[in-house]
Amino acid sequence: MKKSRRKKGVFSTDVAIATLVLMTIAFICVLSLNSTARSLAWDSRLGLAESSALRLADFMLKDCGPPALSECDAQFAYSHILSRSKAGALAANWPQFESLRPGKKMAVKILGLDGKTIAEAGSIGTNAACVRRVALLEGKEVILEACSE
Amino acid sequence: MTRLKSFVFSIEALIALAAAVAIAAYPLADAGSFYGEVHMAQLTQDLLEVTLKNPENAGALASFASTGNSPFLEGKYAAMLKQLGNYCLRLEARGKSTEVNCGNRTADGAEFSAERIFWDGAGFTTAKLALSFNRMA
Repeated sequence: MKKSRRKKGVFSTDVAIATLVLMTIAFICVLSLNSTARSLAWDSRLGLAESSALRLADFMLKDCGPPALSECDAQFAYSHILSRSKAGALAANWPQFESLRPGKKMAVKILGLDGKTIAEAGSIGTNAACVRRVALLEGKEVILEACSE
Repeated sequence: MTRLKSFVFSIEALIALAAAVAIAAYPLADAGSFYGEVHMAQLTQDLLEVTLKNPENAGALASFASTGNSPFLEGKYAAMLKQLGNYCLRLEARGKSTEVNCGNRTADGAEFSAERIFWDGAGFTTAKLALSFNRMA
């Protein structure tokens, strides 16, 4: 009788410890999964924002349709050569362009080599991805910054 | 004997727990920039493009090809790189080579290069521009 009680007691402790350890492991795994999922979601969003920013910069440098900035002759675009008149009309042309992509925040800025802003349009939050490209405006090198969120 | 079994089980469980903690605490690899290499390749092409499409820069490049020296062009590249990021730029033409913003760096990652054939006043020459990312030591 005494022997049996002792065995039962030991078994109970064993199970209790195992359960506790199992629960701790499960809790850690859930936490880890949660953190991994969040990280993957963030990476995915960042990747999409980067891709979008790259395409926006390319469009600005190499397309004729507003608000793209490329100097054009008929529909031939001189890539990397920005038009002064289009740069001046950037802010005016932007709302129509942005309305084609509802819910997507984008911004474009033209900077001189001294860092001063020459033209800009659009607004973005703090989680945007930005790319900088080099172009010519009136024979001078400028930096085109395109951002997307 | 029974107690010993119980003790052995606990050790196993603790090892499992330690393993789980180690897995959970393993730092997730930083994905960094997904399109960083695409962007660098584009920048390399951009820099050569603005060099050759600006007559002043193209003249300086022709001068560099013959003398191997062009403070004007180096200054221009330095000003552009200041706005673009911490890149090391290497320009080569007719066997001459110069580097901009490459001092005090450790080799890091891939180098992207672009080439253009241009007329330097005496003949056709190939200009090569290579860009790599600087990681300061």
